[in-house]
Amino acid sequence: MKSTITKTKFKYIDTVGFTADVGGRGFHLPRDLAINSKEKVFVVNRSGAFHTAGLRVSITDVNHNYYGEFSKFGKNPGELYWPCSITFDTEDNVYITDEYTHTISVFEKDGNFVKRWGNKGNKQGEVNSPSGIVCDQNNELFIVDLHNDRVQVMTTSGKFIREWGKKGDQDGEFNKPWGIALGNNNEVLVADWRNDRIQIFDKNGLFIDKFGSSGTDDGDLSRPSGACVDKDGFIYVADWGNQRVQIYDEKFNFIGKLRGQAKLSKWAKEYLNANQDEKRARESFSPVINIDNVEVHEESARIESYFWDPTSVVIDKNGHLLVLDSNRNRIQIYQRA
Amino acid sequence: MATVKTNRSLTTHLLRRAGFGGTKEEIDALNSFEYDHIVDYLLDNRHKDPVPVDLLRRYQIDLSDVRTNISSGSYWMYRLAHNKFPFEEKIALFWHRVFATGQNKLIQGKPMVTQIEMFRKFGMGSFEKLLVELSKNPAMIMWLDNQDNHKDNINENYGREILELFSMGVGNYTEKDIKECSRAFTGWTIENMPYNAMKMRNNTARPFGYIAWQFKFDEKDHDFGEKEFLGEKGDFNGEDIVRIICKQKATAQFIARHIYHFYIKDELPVPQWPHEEPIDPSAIEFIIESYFKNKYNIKEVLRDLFKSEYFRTEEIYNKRIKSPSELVVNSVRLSGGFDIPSEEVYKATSSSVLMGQPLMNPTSVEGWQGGEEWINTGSVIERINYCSEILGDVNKDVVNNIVKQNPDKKNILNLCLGELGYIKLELSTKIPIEEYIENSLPESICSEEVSLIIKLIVSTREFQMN
Repeated sequence: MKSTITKTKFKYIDTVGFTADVGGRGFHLPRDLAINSKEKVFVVNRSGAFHTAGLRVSITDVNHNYYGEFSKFGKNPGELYWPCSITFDTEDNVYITDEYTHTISVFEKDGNFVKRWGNKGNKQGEVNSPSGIVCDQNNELFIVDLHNDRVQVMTTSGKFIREWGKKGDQDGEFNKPWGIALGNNNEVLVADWRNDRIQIFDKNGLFIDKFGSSGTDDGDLSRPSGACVDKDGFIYVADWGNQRVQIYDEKFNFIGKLRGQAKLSKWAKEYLNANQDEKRARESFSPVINIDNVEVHEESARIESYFWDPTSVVIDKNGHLLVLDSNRNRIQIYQRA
Repeated sequence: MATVKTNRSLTTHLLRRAGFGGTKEEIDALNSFEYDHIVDYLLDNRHKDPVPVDLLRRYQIDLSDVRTNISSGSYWMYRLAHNKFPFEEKIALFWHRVFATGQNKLIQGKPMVTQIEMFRKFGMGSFEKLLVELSKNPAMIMWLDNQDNHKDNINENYGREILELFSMGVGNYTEKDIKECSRAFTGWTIENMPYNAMKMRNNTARPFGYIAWQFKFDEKDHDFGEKEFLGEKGDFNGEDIVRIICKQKATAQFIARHIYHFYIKDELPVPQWPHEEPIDPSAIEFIIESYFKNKYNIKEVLRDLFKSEYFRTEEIYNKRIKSPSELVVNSVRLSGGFDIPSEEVYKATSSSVLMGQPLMNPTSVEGWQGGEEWINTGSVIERINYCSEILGDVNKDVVNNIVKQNPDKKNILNLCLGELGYIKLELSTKIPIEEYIENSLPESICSEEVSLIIKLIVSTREFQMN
């Protein structure tokens, strides 16, 4: 039986980023973000088909500093095609999955390319569209093997260690899983995307628990893409299909949700200051309007401050929740009140 | 085994014209029903979830914000190729041609995706309702500048085009009617118009991408005064104008010629309509009668037409050149559809552009004329290359289905023609291919030979026709 729900409030703090679809300061259709030991935020920009100039990894922080970018669109070593997820090892080396080339690319902490590994297949050590990735303190990489519906654990050089999962909807089975995260006790959370749930395992793949079911009510999930856990054990889920972030306590009770409250970021204000005609036109702009009866994805498209395809969530050292707001090319930041 | 109740040529003709052509399996399945039942089945069924939108948005991520031409076009291409009831996509394509709206001016693709969705929703119902929805459609408002149509300073762009291009045609109204019509549509704009119009004008996705547009009736900017329109007087709003338009015989005739052109036989270009009689006046009269009898309901008009001799006569089989989108979608459907995830859909969308039909970006407000305009030296090569590549792919359904039937030199041609939707070749086309098979193919037929014959067939005039 679930415990009594604790009412918890969350406060909007800030927005970082804006649209930069041909490179430079900003993001374009980002898929994932991660924070290294120096509190730098690395954002993986996938960009769009036939509009690939925006593909790169941007390095920024929550104070709006922009440190640069690395990699670009392509199939050659050092390039990325359909990058999906990012993580760091204990030395801050960078690991990025690529769903198209079926590889994991490795970069130094400043973005210098080191190597890439991975082969398409379904045998141990092979991958078929690697999506989520996370590294633990022992430098073991937990990789979501999307089209094989499993999790594989590998060394940082790509050597197979262990695996679990197969296609299905029973405990320990997956249907097109996406994001992956580690809890405070090294438990492994997997966003079991098409099963509309989060599954929790120990590091060896032993099923521990699960939460979420298909729907739009509080606590329900629709195609969750990622999750993270704060120091108090609260779980934050990017409820991608419902265009929101949901928060659960350590016993998986629903305790809150976020729909998005973005305001202009520092870079956005600077842009408008440099483009006075747009700034004047925006003076009468109402970010929130009464919406026709449309589905939630369309609602997000019409209201600028809402999340539009939130794909990833992380907690920084200060307990701030960073939500990657993919179609709006920005990060929304919240804090538990 | 099911009893064949409908002539197969008629079934394939119906599937080509009402949809995008049937596979052998689809044609065989439908042949066991009476023809009228097949028509009803095609018109009355809709598929709630024609494509896995969640997968599209996850893998082909630019199909989520659908900002660029290639993204919005590809989003529709997925639906065209995968909708199990293609009639609703075909009718959307029909209205897209009549109510031609282009993304190049709008800059962002989202409003066009929304407009096409509106065609799916309302394109088979009452023409009056469709015309009201069109007038409220944000893409149309911004395309024809109705956001600049104010009560004290009218902009006649939409008021003129709704009469000239969307309903009655030139010669059936006066300049005063245009002005009065425009007055009735004052205040029909979009939410946050100044900022959204500025973003469109400046072509900027900064700071946070585009904001999807939503219709707004601005009461303060609407001219509530009396108007005189097509001989009627009153305090007309846009809905009243549309009501008056829809009861005109000129409107029925205009729509009838468009329907005839799209579903039966190529008509003359629209600018010639005021001066030239329809090529089949009795067919046009039939459609006009159906339009009024069915209270402007487009689906019922098409039901009448598809069941009529005007549509069933063999004289019109394979007499229209497939439009690029019809050709591409037909080929993709025959090949088993797009893989997800893959880049196939972008290639299909781009090929349609290279053949002369960029979806959601018609060349002018008059849409695509079609007919022989689809054919030129460049487009023919692209048409043949695309079909050859898709349908001759040894990893796709068509080749594999034929190989499974153990083809030999005697039956390979018929097997290929069947898998491509029971294509009928003229003797002058068929004999050279038969000679090639006899003289050049080995006795043992494998996938490579099947692929070769398919490539020959898709290069023929017969395959390129509808």
